[in-house]
Amino acid sequence: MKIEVTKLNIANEMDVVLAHRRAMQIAKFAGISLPEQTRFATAVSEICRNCLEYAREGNIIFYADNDSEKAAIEAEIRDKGKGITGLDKILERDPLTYRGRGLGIIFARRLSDQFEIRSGTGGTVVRIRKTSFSKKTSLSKIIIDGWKKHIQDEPSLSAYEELKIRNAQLLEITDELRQQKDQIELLNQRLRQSNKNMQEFTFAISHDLKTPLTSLKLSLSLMQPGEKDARLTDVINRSVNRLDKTIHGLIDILHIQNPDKQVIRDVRFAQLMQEVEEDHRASIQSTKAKIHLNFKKAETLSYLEGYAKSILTNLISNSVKYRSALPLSITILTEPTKKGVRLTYTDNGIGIDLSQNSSDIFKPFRRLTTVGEGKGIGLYMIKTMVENNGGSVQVSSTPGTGTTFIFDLVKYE
Amino acid sequence: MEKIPILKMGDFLLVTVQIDLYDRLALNLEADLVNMINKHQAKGVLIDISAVNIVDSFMGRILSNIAQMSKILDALTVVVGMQPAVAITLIELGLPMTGVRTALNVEKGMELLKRNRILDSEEEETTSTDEDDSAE
Repeated sequence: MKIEVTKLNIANEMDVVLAHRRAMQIAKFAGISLPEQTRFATAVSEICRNCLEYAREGNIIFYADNDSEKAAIEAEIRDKGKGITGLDKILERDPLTYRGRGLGIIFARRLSDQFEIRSGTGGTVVRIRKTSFSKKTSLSKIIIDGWKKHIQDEPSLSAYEELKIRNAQLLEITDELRQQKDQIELLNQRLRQSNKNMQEFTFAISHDLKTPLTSLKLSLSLMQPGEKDARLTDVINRSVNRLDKTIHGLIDILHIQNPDKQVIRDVRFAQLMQEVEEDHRASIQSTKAKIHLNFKKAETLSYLEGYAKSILTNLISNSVKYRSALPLSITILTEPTKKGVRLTYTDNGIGIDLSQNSSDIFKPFRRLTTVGEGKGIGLYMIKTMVENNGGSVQVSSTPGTGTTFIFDLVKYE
Repeated sequence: MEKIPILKMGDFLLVTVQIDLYDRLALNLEADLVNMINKHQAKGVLIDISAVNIVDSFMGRILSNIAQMSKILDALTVVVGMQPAVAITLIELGLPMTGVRTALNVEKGMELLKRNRILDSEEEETTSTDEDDSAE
């Protein structure tokens, strides 16, 4: 098995010195004699120098090989340069007669026990192997781990190496910081969006609080002491009711925005619907609503129980409120998805004119119709709950025909 | 920037390389040496490489260059203190170290330079006598 001992990048001439020293060191670990160590290290430095000169940078990995018949240490030098043109000719040069540069490869080959060079337009790879061991050395995993540890723990060979290590650490830290910065930016963006939502919310709610208050004030100022005007009392009653509803809505919203207090359970849809229908028995009976359920494909989902119930309750109550002249019919289906369950809810109510209100329907305290009584928070709450753990909701509707909601519910772990 | 010190000893220059040479350092040494030879009219350069581990074709070329440049400036280069393992590698390489003379250690190297100097001056004397003769 070929085991990596250490690696370093070759980015400048000092690295050649480092690579040479490492080669000496590893050869020494392997129990190779000093002249052989020098041969190996010199071959390494020849190729590293070439790599630096012609490809400007590269890297070197030292391996120990204990798999083949004969154990070996190997230095693999890679670069991403343009490759060597006329490699065959270069390899034929005779150092005794050839004058000039470009002998490094030949020298390296002479000094290696096994030499392999591959060069193409994508770069050059050179493998220098040393197989001549002067004494029996076991290159077991444990021993090589020992080398690694030794190399890791030893004090830096030079101030330059120290700088190199520190530099690498700095680069790592910079990278981490950059990631954190990106995360912070993302959070910031979400915060800004949330702030904007809050503003709209505040605006909507203050409007909802102010309108009944104004009529209350007006009615009170019109009232004579001791007098009991039925008309005015009626106005006052209605205003107080509206205020009460708004405040209840607010409390509901605060409640769902605090999911920590909720319990995660295996929610059985069939059982849940029974409870919901129980709660709405009066309105369901009075409207003669027909509810069709099909939970065969996905019967349960690990979800916040309160949320699941609240979502269905709100949907049913909307359907009841915004029903058309036809007898109300509701269909609820489930099917499994990768992350949880897709729940499709369809009714035959008055529908929503999405061409005009599509962006507003999930906003708090927005009422899109004057039909019936509502606070305009049902859909807002549903969306908030579904999106709390990454789920989503889509709506399609035809005015006068009905509305379909498709919920992609994500299961809670 | 690191520099390799060049010491003047009489007619000779002494260079002790204490660290592994990397390219820029070696090229600077080349330039510095040539300047010093010129400045002090040195007759010999002694380079001690006993602390140098890396002697590859690059180093060989640098040493060879220094020797040839010095020769042109009429100075002899002697490299001393080569480690045995390095010597073996150099032979394996078949690296031509043109013009480089070697000695075992600094002491022997100095002797070599001095002997060469004496030979030179004798030659000079004979030449100058010849010239005197011809003048007459």
